[in-house]
Amino acid sequence: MEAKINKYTAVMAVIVLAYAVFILVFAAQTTCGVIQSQQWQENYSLALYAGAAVIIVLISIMRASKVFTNHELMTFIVLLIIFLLFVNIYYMESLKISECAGTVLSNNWWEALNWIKNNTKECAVVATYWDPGHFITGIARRPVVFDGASQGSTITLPTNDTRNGIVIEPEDHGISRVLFFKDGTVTRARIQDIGTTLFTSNESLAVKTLKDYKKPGCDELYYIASSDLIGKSQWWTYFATWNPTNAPNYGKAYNYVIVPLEGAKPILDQNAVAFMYRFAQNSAFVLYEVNNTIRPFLQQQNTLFKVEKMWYTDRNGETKAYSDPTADIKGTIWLDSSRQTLLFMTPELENSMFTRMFLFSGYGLKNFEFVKAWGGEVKLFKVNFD
Amino acid sequence: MKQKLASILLRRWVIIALILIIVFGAYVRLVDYRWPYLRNIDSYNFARDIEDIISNHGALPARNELAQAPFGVDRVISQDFYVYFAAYVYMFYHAATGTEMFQFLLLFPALLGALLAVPMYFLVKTLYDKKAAVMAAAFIVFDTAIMARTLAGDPDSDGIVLIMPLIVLALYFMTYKISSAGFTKKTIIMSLLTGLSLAAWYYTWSGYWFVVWIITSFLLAKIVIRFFGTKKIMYSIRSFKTQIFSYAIIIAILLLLTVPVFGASPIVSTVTGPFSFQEIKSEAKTFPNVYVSVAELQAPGDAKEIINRIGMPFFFLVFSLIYLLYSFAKKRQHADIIILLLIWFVGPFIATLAAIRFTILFSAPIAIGTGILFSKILRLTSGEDKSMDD
Repeated sequence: MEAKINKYTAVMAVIVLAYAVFILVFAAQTTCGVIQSQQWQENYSLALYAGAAVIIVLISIMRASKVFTNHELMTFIVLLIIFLLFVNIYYMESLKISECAGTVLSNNWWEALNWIKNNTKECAVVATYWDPGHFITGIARRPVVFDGASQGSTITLPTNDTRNGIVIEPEDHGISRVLFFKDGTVTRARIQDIGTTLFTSNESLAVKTLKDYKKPGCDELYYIASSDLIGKSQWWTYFATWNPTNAPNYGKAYNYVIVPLEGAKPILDQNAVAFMYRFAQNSAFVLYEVNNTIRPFLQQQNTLFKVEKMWYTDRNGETKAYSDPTADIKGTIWLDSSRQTLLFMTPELENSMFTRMFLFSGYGLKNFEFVKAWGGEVKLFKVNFD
Repeated sequence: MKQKLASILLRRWVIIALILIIVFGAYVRLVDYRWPYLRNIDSYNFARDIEDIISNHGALPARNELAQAPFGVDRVISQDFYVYFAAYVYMFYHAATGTEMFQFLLLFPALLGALLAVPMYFLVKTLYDKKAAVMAAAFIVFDTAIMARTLAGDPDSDGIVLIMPLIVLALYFMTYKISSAGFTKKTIIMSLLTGLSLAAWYYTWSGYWFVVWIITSFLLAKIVIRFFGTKKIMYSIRSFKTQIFSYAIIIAILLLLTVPVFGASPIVSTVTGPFSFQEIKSEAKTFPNVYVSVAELQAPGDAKEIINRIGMPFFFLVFSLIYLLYSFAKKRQHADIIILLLIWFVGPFIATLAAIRFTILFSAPIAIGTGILFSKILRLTSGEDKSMDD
């Protein structure tokens, strides 16, 4: 320091330094669970402020003994205050971030990608949305349709079509296929292709689209349907329906409504159990279970509306489907087997390829062969082009 | 013995403090890492590039066969400085210690985050004093926004994107200070070094232009301020002739090392950079723009949200600016740091209004401002300064 240092200030500086190092090291000897616990934080604050108080007492004594000047006394106090601010505003928050940040990758993805690496051909393309692209190329070492560095990229293929310029081909659910023809080639956006393969209910369209991404001379292409795509449905539906002539609302977004179980109560006179899944203050899905069958309703205020379709697993472990074409609310409820979470989808989403792959593990699909699932988070399909 | 201790502390306190900051900075980032894999998605993009460089005899393969199936893509020379730097550091580190790639990828981002202390120290020391410099170094290393992006096991490019501009700016202001004392051989050497670092920065990140703008705006502001004082334009320009010459060397080196590879792009993107990034979410195109769905690009911010996100340190910067402006008004001092802080504050402020994620750009000016504020308080209490305007 530019200020003069005598042997007393040096000793004091060493004590302060030792205190500071102790406080910093002490805090770092934790885990996420520990550092967030009230008890630990109280103990830590005690050590932090008690240490500061001891130092203030020591320097006050030195000031009283005229070993320190007022300037030195004040300097130490200000240094302590700065240190306390640093610990509280910067250091502790940094530690919490470091210990509690977690990872984007999960054990399920890690195992899935290692399985792909060890059990598929090196030329096999792994198609899915762009987000896990870098995971797939980095861990599984397999080609992808796109990734975080090429989300906006296009694919250009030779074509016999003689058209020129932009052509928009409509498909089911309002899907738009934007095709740009030029000099015997056709260009498409990868995001729209993959969005289409997730959103369409036309399996043939999905297969035809994916065929263009197969490596030449390679007979394997895999498709991943993963749980994160439920929340991202607003985007893959948006890109699938995106149409440059529809400005400013270029595409249409559809969401899966995920609702956790609020509670269940028995209705004794009907020998039934009512499961409540509330998603707004006056709105909830109510499922009535009677004799091992479930009937779904949407409750708004005090009125109950029937919901058209539902898939659930009964008490015997059997998958059951319920359908009432006269119901007021069009769409499908999918209930997870633990009944902790309900998923509602609009008619546009209920037959989408993603719904059929992820929620029904490919049931009823001809060309998408279910290969393996990891923890219900990642589901792998082999696409058969024959 | 006590006297010897006092002497060591007196002479070496800066080095001791910086070592402690770097060690703790790295340690906090590494603590409790408990996974067999890397932390983030993009981590694997960079990890793969680093591995490819190593397995391909020190250069990225000409083609990227795993991207954009079915054809793959040709690799063009691009802003790959980071992956080359990391790959070569690994090769040396592995040869010296035998450390495996995964361990290195845990350590490397943490080390980059911790090493932010070094350029920050030199930058603030050049513009203010050592105490402010050491504190600014601590504040930048433990800034929560920076911490979140430089954690162990996340070898994304954030670490290098944070440290490179600090290196360039530290070198530039050291050069500026030397050139202010007259034109010497040292001025040329420092200008060359700054130019080299700026070119390396260009090879690192597409948003490189903000540093060129800071440097250019700073020099222009100095000339304009001189002009307001003298009302003589030619005199104002002539009084900065060595700094202008130094600036010319820096920009010449940048262009010399980038234009032959990238054509006019370095010039065009420098000029259009501040305006073009606002169009990143435009959908008036033939095909969908995926950027509209990238969460971190979506939400625009406002002044209130910016303050909420940054918290108390925002006010440290404001108080620091008030003190510096007061000191300038009274004694015409600290003009350089005031100009730098204002430029570095206004730019990110505008960027953050477009997308709130840019609050990370405030981290450096806030660390500098906070360091200066606390240093000033220490100077007053220790008796070094007698009043606020000293």
